[in-house]
Amino acid sequence: MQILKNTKFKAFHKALSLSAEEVIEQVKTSGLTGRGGAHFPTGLKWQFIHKEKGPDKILICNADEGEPGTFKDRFIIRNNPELLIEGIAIAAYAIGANRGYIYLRAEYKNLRPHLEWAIKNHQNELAQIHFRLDIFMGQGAYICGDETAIMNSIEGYRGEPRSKPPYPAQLGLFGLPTCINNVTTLSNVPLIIDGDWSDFRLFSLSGNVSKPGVYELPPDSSAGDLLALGNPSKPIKALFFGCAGGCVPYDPKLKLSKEGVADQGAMIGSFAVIAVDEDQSIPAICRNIAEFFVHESCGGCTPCREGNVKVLNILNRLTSGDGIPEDIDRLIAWGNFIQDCAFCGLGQTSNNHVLSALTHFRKEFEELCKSSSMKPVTR
Amino acid sequence: MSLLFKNTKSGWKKESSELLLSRLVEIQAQDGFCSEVRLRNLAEEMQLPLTQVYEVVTFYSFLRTHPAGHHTLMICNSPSCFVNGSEKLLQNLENYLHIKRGETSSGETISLRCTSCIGCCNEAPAALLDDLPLTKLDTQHPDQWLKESYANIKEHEI
Repeated sequence: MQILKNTKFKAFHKALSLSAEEVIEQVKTSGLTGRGGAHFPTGLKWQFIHKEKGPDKILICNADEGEPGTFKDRFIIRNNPELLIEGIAIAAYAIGANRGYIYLRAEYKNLRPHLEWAIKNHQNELAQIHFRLDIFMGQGAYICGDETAIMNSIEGYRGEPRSKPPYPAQLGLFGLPTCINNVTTLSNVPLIIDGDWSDFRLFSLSGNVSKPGVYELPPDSSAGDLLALGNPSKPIKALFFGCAGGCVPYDPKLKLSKEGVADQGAMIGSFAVIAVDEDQSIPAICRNIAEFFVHESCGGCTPCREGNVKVLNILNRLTSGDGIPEDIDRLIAWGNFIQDCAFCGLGQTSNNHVLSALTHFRKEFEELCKSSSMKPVTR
Repeated sequence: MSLLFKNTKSGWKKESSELLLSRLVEIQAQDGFCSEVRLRNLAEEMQLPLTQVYEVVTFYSFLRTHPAGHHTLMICNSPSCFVNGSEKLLQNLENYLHIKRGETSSGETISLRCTSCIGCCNEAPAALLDDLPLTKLDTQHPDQWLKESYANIKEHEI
């Protein structure tokens, strides 16, 4: 696997022999995009922060990998932490940052020694570019994966997202220009500078497969290619792209790219693929995901805080056999409303699962309504 | 917006609230939870509004304002674990420990909780016993692996 290659800080020294602009240009031409789910061009982001004036700039490595079904960052930190530290060092040099944080989620506390070891090993290189790097522990909040929520969390406030603009590149952590990159994005940087890099995607495959794990595939790979590696024992019915990405019916020919999945009304996001076999009930999984969003909504905006509770109530009713046919239309209405009106990415994507499931698996929801005793709804 | 964080000649001057989260973690590590008295003292000491301290402590799911068991067992309840039987596992654990999810066993040995994804989806169903991830759990006989992991934890503590 490409991501397990250790460039042993060769790429870092190569980057130091270039100017910061040249490093940014190289990352830009490589076409590397953010691997956290938003797919923003990394080189462009760096350029924004590089352009900002001022002696103090901050780099945050986002290791708050909360999206269910995603574990590529954990894989990198556990198996190749030095590559990540090298990527952070190159990014810091390119944007001119002198202070950095790795925002590590509380669930990954057992990975902290791996990072500490790698930082200690390369203290000299970090000192060379006058860059101080700390690990900041999250305390269990999915929303802190959002780039502005992460800044509030570090500053000692509730991890609620901030409004943009001002963008973090102008007014970020402590009011300083701030660059926030995902673990996987930064780990690709040394490989780009080193020269021998291909634009592979790290897929986290889990669910009803006998060989779940992290797989590295070229960008034009199909669902069939990935599932062949996962070796499911029963026929696969649907693929869920994390909780926020929604679902598609399994088609071996489906291209697992941003565009290919978007055509089916879902989002590839952070390349998490949860395969679901024919024994599973899609409404039950949607209920589980709705529960997740009710728990993880920060409560900052009303559509997300209250709307997701309504969605969960309807799904609870459906899955316990008390659903009525109107429930399906209500789910769609609530889903569209939350998608349109929520403040941040969490809220806007929180009903992709139910909307895409109702597009592709409407029959399963309708069957649940049929079996009910058609009681009138009092709420 | 004012600059809260300055690079002075004597090194990095930390804006005080930056330390808030780590101080709360310290308190919880000492006492097992963040009591009202400790929160009031902390707010005073850090010169922060008590509301800010309380807001933060109630925001994060790993921090608590009420006592819990000596150990916390958090069962992952996100889709990858859900399709691999985490609901069955929770029911069997509830029966075995004679408590419901969210409760603490008598004698305050263990608290049982659900958690969002812990990133062990490739080894589902998974759980966290304090900070230790437990993976590929037997959903039918939770008593067996729970006893084993207790033994492991005790060894670490000694």
